[in-house]
Amino acid sequence: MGVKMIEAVIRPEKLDEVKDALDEAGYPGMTVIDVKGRGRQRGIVHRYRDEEYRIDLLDKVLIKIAVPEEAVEEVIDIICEHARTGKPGDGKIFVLPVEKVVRVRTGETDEEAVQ
Amino acid sequence: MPVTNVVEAAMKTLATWGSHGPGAVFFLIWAMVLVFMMQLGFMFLESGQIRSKNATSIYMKCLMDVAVSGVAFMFLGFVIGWPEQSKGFIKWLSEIASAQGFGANPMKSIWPWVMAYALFQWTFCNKAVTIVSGSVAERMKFKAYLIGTAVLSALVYPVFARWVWGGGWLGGSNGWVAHVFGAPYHDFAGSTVVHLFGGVAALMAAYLLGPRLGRFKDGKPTPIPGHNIPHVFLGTLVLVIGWYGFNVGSSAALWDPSTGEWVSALVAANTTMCMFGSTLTAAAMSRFDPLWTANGILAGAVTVCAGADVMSPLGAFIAGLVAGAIMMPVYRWLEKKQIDDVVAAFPVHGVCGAWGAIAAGIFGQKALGGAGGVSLAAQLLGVAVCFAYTGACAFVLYKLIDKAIGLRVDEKTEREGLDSAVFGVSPYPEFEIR
Repeated sequence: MGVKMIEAVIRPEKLDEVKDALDEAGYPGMTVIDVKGRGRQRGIVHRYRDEEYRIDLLDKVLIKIAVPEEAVEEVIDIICEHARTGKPGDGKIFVLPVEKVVRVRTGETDEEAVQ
Repeated sequence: MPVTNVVEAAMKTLATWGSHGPGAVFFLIWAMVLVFMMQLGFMFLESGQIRSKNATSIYMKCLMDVAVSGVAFMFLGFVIGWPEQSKGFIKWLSEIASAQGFGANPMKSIWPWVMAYALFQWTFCNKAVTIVSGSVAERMKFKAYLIGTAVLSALVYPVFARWVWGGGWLGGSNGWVAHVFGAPYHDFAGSTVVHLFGGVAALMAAYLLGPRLGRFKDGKPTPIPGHNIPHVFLGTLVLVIGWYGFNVGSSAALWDPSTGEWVSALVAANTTMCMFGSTLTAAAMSRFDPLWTANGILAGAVTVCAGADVMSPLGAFIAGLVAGAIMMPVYRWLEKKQIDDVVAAFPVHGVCGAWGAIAAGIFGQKALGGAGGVSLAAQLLGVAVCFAYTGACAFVLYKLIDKAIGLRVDEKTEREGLDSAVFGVSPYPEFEIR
């Protein structure tokens, strides 16, 4: 069994909820990056001086979390449950293979390094 | 001494105190400080509506405007616009070079009041020329802008102010307009002298500069959103609060029995009521667009200046309702002509300034609850003269500056942003990547 990288693009306002839920389930470690992106709706329309303009890249948050392979489904479920609003723009989750993990402080590798 | 003589002497002392004594001096300085504060309002109103890469350039323009218009006005503009008070160039310069006159006892000398009055008038001039800075934002050369400020403050502004406020042919009670129309042109606090003037100068400068890169795509207006809406609201309310000094201070005396001027609660009430009206219609017409609603309260403040002392509070409120509705159509028209007035300076100051002078001629009539002594025809003429005079002067001025040193920054500077390219700084230097 190996380690997988879960990359979830979610709404920024859902970050706190997702983060707390992951923490509670025993996954405290994560890297969070502010990102911009878009999906099939290609952004939203805003108004400036009562004139419309399209914002075609929206603010999103990318959560990166490395977990042992057997935990992938549980983490996906937690993120989906807490990041979902049911409206377009809820985001996407990608699962990527990880070749190697090293914990800098101890030198532990792979699953031991993400426990 | 008989009692009547004592009362008479006391009244005389009180009249001196209120017309040019300590009371009037303090009143003018109070008003001047409030109008000076409006510069802070312009800074934030304008910076919020432009991109952060140019924010510092707006602060610098508004700050340098203070010093440049100050020098231009105090050494030349005041003498040109107010010869009766300044007593001519030589006398004025000798007073400027001395602490005696302005430091005298204001109960005995007129000079302390004259200096307070000059400072008060300078803050008005400073507001008028700063109106330009917003409409030319993000693309005008800094030095070209400052030359414009200097010439407007020293020459162009004082001449029109003299025509209206200095007993000239437009506003003088013995002037040409008063003889022809039965009443002089009436602009109490500067709907035209300050705001239409600034708005038209801003329009000319923006027209000659051309639009910012990307403002019109294939001829279609494309908004360039500013960087800070809270700045816009902060600046708007700072301006509006300062406006009470602008309008109430325009009586220039607490009590002057010789001219019948006194500090006026009516002016304060009208200023407030007019802003109520304009805010409501601007909000409704723009469907609560934040920038137009913020401009809406300013529209009323600009409108009320001219007739603040002759309209009734109800008349001012109705004038305000109209003011809030007339900015947006003009802004759309400017866009159709591909004129990029970044902060809507012409729709707010120009259009509502013109309307303010006209409204004074309507709601100032006795039949509509006004104080009377105004002529609608005289008001229309005054607006037309202000428009033509300011438009011609500003057009020639900016054209000459363009020929001499160029009005507009090069494309690379515009894309990079004026803050970095001209001032070598960003508004938040801590966050530059090193």
